[in-house]
Amino acid sequence: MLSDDQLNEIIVEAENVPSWVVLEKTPVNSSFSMVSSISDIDVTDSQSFGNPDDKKSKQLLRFSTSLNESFLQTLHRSPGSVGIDTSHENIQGQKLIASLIPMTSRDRIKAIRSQPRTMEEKRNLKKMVDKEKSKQSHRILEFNCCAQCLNSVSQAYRRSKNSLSELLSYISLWQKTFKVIGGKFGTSVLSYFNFLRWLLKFNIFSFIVTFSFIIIPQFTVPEKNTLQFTGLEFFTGAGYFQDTVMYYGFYTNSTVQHGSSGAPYNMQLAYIFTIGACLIVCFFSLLFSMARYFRNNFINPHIYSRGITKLIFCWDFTVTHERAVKLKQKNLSMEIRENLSEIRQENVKLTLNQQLVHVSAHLAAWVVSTGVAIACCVAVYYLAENNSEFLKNHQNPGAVLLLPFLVSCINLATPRLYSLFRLVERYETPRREVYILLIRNIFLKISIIGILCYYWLNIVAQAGEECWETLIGQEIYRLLLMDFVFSLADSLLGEFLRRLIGMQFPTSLGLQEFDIARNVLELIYAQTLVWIGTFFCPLLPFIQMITLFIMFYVKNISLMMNFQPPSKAWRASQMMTFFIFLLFFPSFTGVLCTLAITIWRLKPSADCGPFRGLPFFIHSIYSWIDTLSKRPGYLWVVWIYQNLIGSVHFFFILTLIVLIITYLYWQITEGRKIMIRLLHEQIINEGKDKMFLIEKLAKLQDMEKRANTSLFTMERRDVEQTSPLHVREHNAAHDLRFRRSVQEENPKV
Amino acid sequence: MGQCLRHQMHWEDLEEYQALTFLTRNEILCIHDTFLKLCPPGKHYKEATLTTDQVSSLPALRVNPFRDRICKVFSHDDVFSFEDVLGMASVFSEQACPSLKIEYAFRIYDFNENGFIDDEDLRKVVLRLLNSDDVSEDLLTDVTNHVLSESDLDNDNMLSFSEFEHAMAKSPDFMNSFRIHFWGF
Repeated sequence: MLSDDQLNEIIVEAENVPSWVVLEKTPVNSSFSMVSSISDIDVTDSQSFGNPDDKKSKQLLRFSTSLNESFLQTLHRSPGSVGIDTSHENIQGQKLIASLIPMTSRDRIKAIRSQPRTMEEKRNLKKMVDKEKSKQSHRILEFNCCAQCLNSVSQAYRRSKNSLSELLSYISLWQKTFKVIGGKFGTSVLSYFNFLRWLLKFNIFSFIVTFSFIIIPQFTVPEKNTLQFTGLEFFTGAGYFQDTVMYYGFYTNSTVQHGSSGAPYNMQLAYIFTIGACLIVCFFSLLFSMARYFRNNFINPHIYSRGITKLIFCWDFTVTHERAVKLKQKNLSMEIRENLSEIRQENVKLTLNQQLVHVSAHLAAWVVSTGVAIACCVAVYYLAENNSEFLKNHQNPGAVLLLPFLVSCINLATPRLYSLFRLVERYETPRREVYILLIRNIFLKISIIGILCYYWLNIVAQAGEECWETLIGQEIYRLLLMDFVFSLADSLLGEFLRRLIGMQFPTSLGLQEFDIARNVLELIYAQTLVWIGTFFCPLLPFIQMITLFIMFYVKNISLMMNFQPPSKAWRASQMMTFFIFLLFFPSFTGVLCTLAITIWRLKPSADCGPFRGLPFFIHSIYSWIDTLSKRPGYLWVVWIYQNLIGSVHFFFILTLIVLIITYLYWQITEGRKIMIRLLHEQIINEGKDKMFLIEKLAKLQDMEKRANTSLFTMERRDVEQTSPLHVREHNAAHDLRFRRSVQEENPKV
Repeated sequence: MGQCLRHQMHWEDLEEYQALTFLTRNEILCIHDTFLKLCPPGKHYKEATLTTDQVSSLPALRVNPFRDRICKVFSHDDVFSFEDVLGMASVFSEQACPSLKIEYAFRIYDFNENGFIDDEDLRKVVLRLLNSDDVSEDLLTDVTNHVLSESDLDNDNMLSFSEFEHAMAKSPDFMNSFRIHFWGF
């Protein structure tokens, strides 16, 4: 612990001269010019926090009025004024320069940038390092040519990367809006909009890929569209749109070739590979984001306790509106009080009766919520099954919207029902409450999508209708659209009305707060539908792009008009980790399962689409491999397919290796946890040692002080008159020592 | 952010500032613009200084509860040169590295500048955060005790820099909250 010697020095100096300053030397210059020469000053620099061994050897330093050519001179702002010569500082400076010289220039720049020094000091540091480096490199002549070449190439590359990233940030979407939202509402609400923008990037990428590889080739071989266009198509997705590039059924299964010399373009393979590529890129992107968030957010959860430290030290500096700041302060005060009372309550043991009541309340809530979810699923399935007869009886083309309408109503009402459970259940921490609410909601949404997929894949696909893929595509389109309409209505009308009501009765309700969890779950739900639907309706990413765009502006406007900043601290990064995990685990893996079942088990329709006539979708790949095996140049592709992708042994060995590596990493983590605990105990023991030594030293100095009382008081009066700075430090140092001895009497373990 | 056109900065200076801080080109130019607007006209930007009052009344800092500490930590002799302002913006920028932010956060929260965040510093921090008149002694004592029990590893009733660093490394929201945008207003 580095504070050992610092405290020792405080105590020793309290007798002679009570001033030592921890910041940079420069602001102290003027005041120290008044100090008498008998005073010894200990100057520590912020760098010294990292070098305890230097401090051990350091004596109390003499105050000098002369400058020398040392490293220190160049670091001062005003070299004309009085400088402080510390041999300790010189040693440190030399160490710093020595550590910077062997680095590559990029690392050196990064290291200099992250030094907590003023600009001038950094500039001088850079100059010295460059001078030393050029002195050294004069001796190395062999690598000059190559090194210079590489240097200039890497510099050019770096410069172009810099300018590219600046260009990207310049055209980055909605930067200014994000700053305004962050300034008024804080980082928690901003995390929702960040999530929205991230999903938008997925959709833009999917759209670009499908557009270039599937849609444009299809445009070059158009078929005539004989259907009428009525305005209702935008809502039902059927009618005129059925014979456009929007749906699977329109795509040709032939090999497109323009002219006799043009390259052949196999639409079947293009279709399956494009969708596969989109999904693979999404998979890896999700995986890496999730891993990054996990790594940053789940360090030592067993030490992470109530989090009052976080409340105190993580004040949101980005908030710049005066009213928002005042509100935040009020909310912080409430939250601190709540946290403290929770801690006090935690230590209160509940009686058996109360525990029983709590457990039964939880159980009842879970039973009810699961029951509601299952009931909704059954209702949806029943309606879906009877939909076809219903449609035959009612000729109204708008009748197809009934199922999406019901699903959207369920999605609107049931989460609010779940929030009501809060009145009955009592949770230990509000964090657990949020997690359980999220789990219930995501269970509901995923089960609805699951039941619909089951219906589509088992009933619609095997009912023998022509072009069942297009039918599924239309269903998904209608679901998405209805969800979009409901969200718009909720934001524009619902929240607006809620604000009007809240203003009428100001005491009871007040302004509402932005429910981040519910909105993020809606985004996840829509994105799941888009991923499933891209196979059946390749234009769906484009539609979702437009939807997200509009939703951003609507939510933004509604936020500014109808909401107040959040009252509880929302652990934004932990929540984002959880959301991305939800996006990956039930949502994306469900999509992969659905598409896998489609491609491997289902029979494509016979008359439409790029896979018409094949027994299974996957047979397009089989036939491609067959054609490749006849060409001698591509036998390696066939080999890879047969031995790596198609073989069971390979996957078995791969799984075994992954399991072994996972087990090893798990054991390493366990070992590290034990290490952390041991180190923590060691720190506590060292703290006790330090206090013991300080107490001993204080006793010795007391004895010495009594011996030299008269001399000391005279000196002290002298010193106290010279600078007001000293008095404060002196008192602080004295307080420190006093606190030490008090603590020795009441040891806190 | 790209609207700051009125700049008389030399290209080499701009490159140097880019190398020494975490700010992008646009950000440096915008801060230069704001600096020129505030400093007395006629002076070259490298010699002009701003008082702490002028910097405290920037829109980014005006309502910050710690603005006086921020100004104290980043100024020299109670004035801000252009490079001081750049240094401040660099520490608070999005791209700054965590160690730099933690270092300066520690300095800001260390009110009595003795190198530790001790009991009285914590009390002052809490009072600034709550900024109300009815904060009882009990609440203050309670809060400081809890903070120390959570983060003080060697039980000396103060937070040294390592303990503070350790505590902040555990809260990933610190990086996102310790940011101020000094430009674009």
